[in-house]
Amino acid sequence: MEQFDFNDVGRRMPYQVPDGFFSSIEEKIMQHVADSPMEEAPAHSISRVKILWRTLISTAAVAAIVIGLWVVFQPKDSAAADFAAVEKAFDQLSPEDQAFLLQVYEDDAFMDE
Amino acid sequence: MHNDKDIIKAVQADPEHGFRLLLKRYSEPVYWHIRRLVVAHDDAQDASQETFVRVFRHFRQYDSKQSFKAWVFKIATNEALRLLGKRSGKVMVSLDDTPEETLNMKADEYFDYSDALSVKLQQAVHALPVKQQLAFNMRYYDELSYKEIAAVTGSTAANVKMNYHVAKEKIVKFMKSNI
Repeated sequence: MEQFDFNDVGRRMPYQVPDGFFSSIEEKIMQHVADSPMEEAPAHSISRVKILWRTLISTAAVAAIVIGLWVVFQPKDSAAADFAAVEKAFDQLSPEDQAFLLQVYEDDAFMDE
Repeated sequence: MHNDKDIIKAVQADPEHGFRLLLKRYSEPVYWHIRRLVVAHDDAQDASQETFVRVFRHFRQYDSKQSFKAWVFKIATNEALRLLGKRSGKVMVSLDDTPEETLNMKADEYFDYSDALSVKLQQAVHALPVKQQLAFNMRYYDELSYKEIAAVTGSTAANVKMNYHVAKEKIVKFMKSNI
């Protein structure tokens, strides 16, 4: 079996191109791009970060309110009454605060998971 | 020849002038990269043109934390794979495929059959799965780093390194049995 050494070929290739090919293709490409405007940088990377921050802040705010309400209204003798206490506390919130909490729950991307 | 940083700044300042500089630097390497994958000159020409139109159109989406060369080569690779996919009735050829069409080195006006050794080397390369072809070509001919090749193929540097060495071993085996 004969030996093979990459140095015998180096970067030689059997492929060829027509004379003046690269200057002609550059001109063709310049003509193409003249009719093809650059697209704006995607805005989604910034807005995604904003959305994530808003979600985290909203979730933290809701958690703080719920924990606060739970601590204040926690019945001393019955864990089963916890949710009732939260419901009662919720009922005592103003309609604006209730609407805000419900909205946060609805918008929370992680709630359904 | 301008470096990538100069070219990026030039395109941002004056898109037409900057893009001419970009073409001066990249038109040949991109064409040869695509040609090695698709073989036929006409196909390589079409895919090269489409590559640069995409590079221009999406220039502002380039993430400056990444290698610019890798970004350009990624677009070029996708164009080549899309073209190979069209030949086999797919959207894009998979990195695990070995496209049969290129194995036979179709007759082409711009092909030098007299250089038997270089023809054999290209046949050996085309007998490899695409991911090994990419690792070998971009390392051996274009001297991209393993990290840059990984950015092109969506892999890891370690994986590319392994593919490159496996490709070299297979090529040597092919060449020994076909010389």
